[in-house]
Amino acid sequence: MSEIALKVTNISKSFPRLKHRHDNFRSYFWDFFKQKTPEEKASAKERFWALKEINFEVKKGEFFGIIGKNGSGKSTLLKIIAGIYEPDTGMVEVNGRIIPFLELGVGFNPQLTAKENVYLNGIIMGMTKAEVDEKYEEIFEFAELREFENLQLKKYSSGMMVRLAFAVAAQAKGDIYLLDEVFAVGDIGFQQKALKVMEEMIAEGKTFIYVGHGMETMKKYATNVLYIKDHVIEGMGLDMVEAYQKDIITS
Amino acid sequence: MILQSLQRRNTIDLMWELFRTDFKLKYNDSFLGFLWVLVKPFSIFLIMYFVLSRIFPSNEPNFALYLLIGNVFMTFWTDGTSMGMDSLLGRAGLITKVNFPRYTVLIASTAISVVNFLINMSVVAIFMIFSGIIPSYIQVLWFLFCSFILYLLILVVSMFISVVYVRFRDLKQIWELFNQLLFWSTPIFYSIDSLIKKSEVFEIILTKLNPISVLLLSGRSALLKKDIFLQPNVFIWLGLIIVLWILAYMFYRKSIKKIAEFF
Repeated sequence: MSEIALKVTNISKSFPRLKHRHDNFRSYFWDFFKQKTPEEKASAKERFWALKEINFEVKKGEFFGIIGKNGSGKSTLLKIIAGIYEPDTGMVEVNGRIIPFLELGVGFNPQLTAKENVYLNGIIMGMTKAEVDEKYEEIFEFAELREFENLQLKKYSSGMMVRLAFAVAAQAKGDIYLLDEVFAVGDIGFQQKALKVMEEMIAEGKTFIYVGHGMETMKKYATNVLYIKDHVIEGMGLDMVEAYQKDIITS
Repeated sequence: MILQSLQRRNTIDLMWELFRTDFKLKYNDSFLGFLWVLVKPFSIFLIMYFVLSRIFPSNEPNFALYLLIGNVFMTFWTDGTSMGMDSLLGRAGLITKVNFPRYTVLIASTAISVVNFLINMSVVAIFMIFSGIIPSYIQVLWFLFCSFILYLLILVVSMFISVVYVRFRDLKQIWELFNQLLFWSTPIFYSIDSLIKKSEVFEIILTKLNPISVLLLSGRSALLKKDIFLQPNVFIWLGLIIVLWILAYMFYRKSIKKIAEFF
């Protein structure tokens, strides 16, 4: 078990079909007392299966890619691994500390200054206040935003915001990183810098689980690839990148 | 759940940071921001005072303070539960992206209402000193004890309504209606003595069924009437709230696992 960072066993996840979900009491009770045809009754119980029977293992230090079309269930899988969604069946065993980057700059508030946002975001990403204190200089150095640290975030350009978010994210120390296409950020110079940070982490033996459409990144870094097609595993292995690309062209 | 996650190293930092963020956004770190906290209960107080003292003069001694404390107490409840209700939905951006102990948002959000209450009460204290009403420590402690029970009730109720609000977004309207009902069935501006004589139903509602009324009557009379109103109903409600806590905890723990799916 010690070489295994993550073990996903028989995960399935379903959601009710959206048209049957009430988000207020009024429509809930209206629907409750309404006469329903048998078809309507049957369709109310209908569920949408976002993932079916997913099994895989990720070894420590691996760069594990997950590919698939939009809506195939990749992000749901990532949210289950991150502990945000609860699966219907199956379980996720994690060996180490997970840092989820499903989005950069979670919790960023435009009304607050960059400094305040760094603390907020850093602590949300799992750092302690003392750790943010310690890394504070490094974060602003990396983001190249030293002179704007006391500016409200709403005055930042989107590029600056993303740089700041990435700089905080790079400091959140864990063992397993979940990335949902967060490397397509900033200008080319900054992208290079971001990739360099990732490469350093890979060299340190950190585990990455990467969901993305950037096939170049996949080919360059991935040590294993999981292809999810129509909510089930289509296959696993580095050759899946080719299979996926072929599927896209033919479909 | 709670003990485990407190051992997670940054839970307390997280709670504090969420609270500070809310606090900064509400008050802009300024003195004027603090004045806004006072505006709500004190403006209601002023209107009620001018209208009531002319139309229905009360025989309550220190009527102004009686009314003021009533308003501040009720504002604590309405503020606390509305912030508590919004604690999950208002943080949708965090809850759908990061897994952290969810109860932290509940505590951070309701803590703002505690701060508001304390600011309001310190102004009340100044008024009391000017009116020459200086309660003893024991009396102040009893009032604070009653306020603490109210905060426990705010937390318990928030555990339920924050979850339900994510599912049913019109809970807000229903809750406002319910709070109107509570407002009129709490002796904020009227005195209970006259009402109790008139109707038994009123007596049961005011001194037994409505916890806010029970806590306010006891706490306020400790401050103003120089007698500690040791109503056994305060303790009965404390017991009930503890039982409710167990239920609320079970409900919260069970439903919180799936909460991210409902945003």
